[in-house]
Amino acid sequence: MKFSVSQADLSKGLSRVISVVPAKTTLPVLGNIMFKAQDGFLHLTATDLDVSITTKIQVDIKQPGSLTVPSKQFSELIKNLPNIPLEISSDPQFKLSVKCDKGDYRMSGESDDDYPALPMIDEKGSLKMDAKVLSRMIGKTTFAVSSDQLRPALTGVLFQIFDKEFRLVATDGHRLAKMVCSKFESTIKEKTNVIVPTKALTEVAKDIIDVVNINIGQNHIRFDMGDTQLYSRILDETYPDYERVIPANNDKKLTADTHMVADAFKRVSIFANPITHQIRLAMSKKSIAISAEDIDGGNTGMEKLQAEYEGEDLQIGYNSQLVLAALNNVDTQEVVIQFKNSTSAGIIMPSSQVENENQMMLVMPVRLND
Amino acid sequence: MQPIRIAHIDLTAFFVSVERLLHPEWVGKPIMVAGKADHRGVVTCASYEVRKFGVHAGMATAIAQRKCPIAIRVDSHHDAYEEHSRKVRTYLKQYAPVFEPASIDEFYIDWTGCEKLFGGSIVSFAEKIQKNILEQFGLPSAMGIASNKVTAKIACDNAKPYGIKEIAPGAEAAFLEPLDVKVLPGVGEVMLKQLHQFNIRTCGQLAQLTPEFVEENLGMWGLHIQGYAQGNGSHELSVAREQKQISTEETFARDTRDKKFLHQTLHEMTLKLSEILRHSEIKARCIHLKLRYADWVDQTRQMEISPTHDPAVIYKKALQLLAKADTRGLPIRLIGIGLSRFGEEEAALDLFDEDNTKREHMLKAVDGINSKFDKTIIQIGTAE
Repeated sequence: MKFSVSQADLSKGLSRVISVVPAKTTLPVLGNIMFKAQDGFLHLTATDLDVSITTKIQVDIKQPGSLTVPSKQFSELIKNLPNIPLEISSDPQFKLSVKCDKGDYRMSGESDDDYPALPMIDEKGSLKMDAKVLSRMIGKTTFAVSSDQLRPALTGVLFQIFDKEFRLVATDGHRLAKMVCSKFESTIKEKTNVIVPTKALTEVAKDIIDVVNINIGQNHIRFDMGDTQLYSRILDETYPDYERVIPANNDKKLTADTHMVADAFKRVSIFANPITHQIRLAMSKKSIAISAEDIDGGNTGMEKLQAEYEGEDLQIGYNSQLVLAALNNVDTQEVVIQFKNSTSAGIIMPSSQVENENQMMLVMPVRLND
Repeated sequence: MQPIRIAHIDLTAFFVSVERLLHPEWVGKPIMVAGKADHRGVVTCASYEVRKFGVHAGMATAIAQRKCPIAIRVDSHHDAYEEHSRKVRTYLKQYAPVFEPASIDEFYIDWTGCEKLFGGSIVSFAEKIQKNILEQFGLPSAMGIASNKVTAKIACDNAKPYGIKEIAPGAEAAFLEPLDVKVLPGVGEVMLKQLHQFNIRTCGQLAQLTPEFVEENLGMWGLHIQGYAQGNGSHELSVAREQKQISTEETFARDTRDKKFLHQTLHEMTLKLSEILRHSEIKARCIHLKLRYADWVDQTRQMEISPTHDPAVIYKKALQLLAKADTRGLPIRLIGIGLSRFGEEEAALDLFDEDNTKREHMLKAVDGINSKFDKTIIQIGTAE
């Protein structure tokens, strides 16, 4: 294999795949990146067996070929070189050489025979949509996934494809985030539910491109993003019936300035119990107050909130961290929070929705002691 | 050294008392909280008016209704009982430096060294507490005070329905001497039959036997019960709340690589620790596992968990830790498990709570039954 390429192009390709390389692995070859030079392109592939990314960059090929190279050593070198032309080649013993104005560097690669092949996707169909919309939907749901390995279904994001709606849902059992998009093209005929691991989605959200194609198979999902493809295993789990827990009759409504209410939560929660982060929201037509108390530390905090409240008086407890995480995902000037009672989920929404989208979050309260 | 003073407080005919608070028209009437006779229900609590007819908790409702046809049968309302129990607990904790809820209607308090708190005798202080529980919450109670938990509980039974009985330090054996051996925890039907074979009917008779005789004829468990009859017993209250960590470990008689055996040991340990958590009404947020290999090298692992007191959750996590820690392929000499980062409440309620609520009810029922018999009658199993 022999090709020449600019440092900038190679660096860009590497940065696209390197984050998938596992930090620790029992299979040493996964610590490598696969290079394949053919048809005017260098194809770079990395995998941790759950998520695989492959991308291509244009290079000037003198001799096609393939091998795997130690990712850390190689990427460190490229990162620390200026943007100059590089001459890269390998010999039959898989020794890789990088030559440039600055010097010559040699490292040991390996044959790509042992490198895991990319998954075959037996496609049910595909969905095409604006990549920026998908990226936003991912950002506004992944914060709510669970890290609890005892509930593996909740460690991923649920993709639901309906005739006219494409939904992403995430929950950790205490809060839930749902994003709906109605502008997409789909060849998927039947209603489809798949759970996608969060790691894959974090990678998808990084790519700034125009259009993304999502291909769904039996065990894997593939995201086609221009020159880059990301493959992910689908979690073989049953997602809980989340629609059942979305309350339909939350008759009390708080409307407030998003930043103002978030800042008040931040200040008051400094005085909450550091383990439970419990804050109390006391609402009536006359006044709205947020308070917190840490009995062990002897600390208290209270703020009156300038907001509009409709409905009967209500006192409700929350973990301030959960509410703040939800508020951080509201992009509108005003936020609307709907309540039913002190033990039911509160609904948090932006005051107006982006065209063709719908955002909704749920946060479960904390039981107040009195 | 200050004399140890443990109080056992029992809310008299608690379920009946709560039902009477909810329905004042039942005050003085013969009522029993019981399942329906045609549903093979049993009596969970009977008022003293009904007990006179020989009705007791655990009796089939059909039989109870035959013995006492005038009894008014009432369905149980556990949420209300929980609520009232919680109020009493909150009240008692104000006067209890060390406190252990033994069940929904029974509590232990360690009043050792609290003379200043009493401002007089311990009995007059106990009377004040008893009066306040009656006046503030409408709940009658009985109280026993002694130098250990078992004697305090027996004294309390002796003081029922509404009295207070203090056994002075050193007077435990004399108090127990004339009592039927049946009052001792751990004396069930089988043990009672064995004791009767040797013509032992009172605690005093059991107390006087030589340890050799007891061990030979009644085994180690017999020695344990003889200790109770002699007025001995633990005065340690299960108060994980005061501690940073609760843990248990076991050194094996022979080093082992038997996975099934290790899992079984972990399961028993998680049952024990989770019971302490539930008794103390706290949940743990961190689990620790310790292994000691045959070559005396220790391996420890720990993991953050969602707050829990459920043995199934803790066991599952313990198995994950074991899989992570047990990497050396050597036989294991010791295994231990610990729980820490205690708190009272879960951070937020669960959206998909149905299973959890059912499970909480199940755990409560199991704890209730085990505490009634003062030993593990029902054990929570595993899916393995």
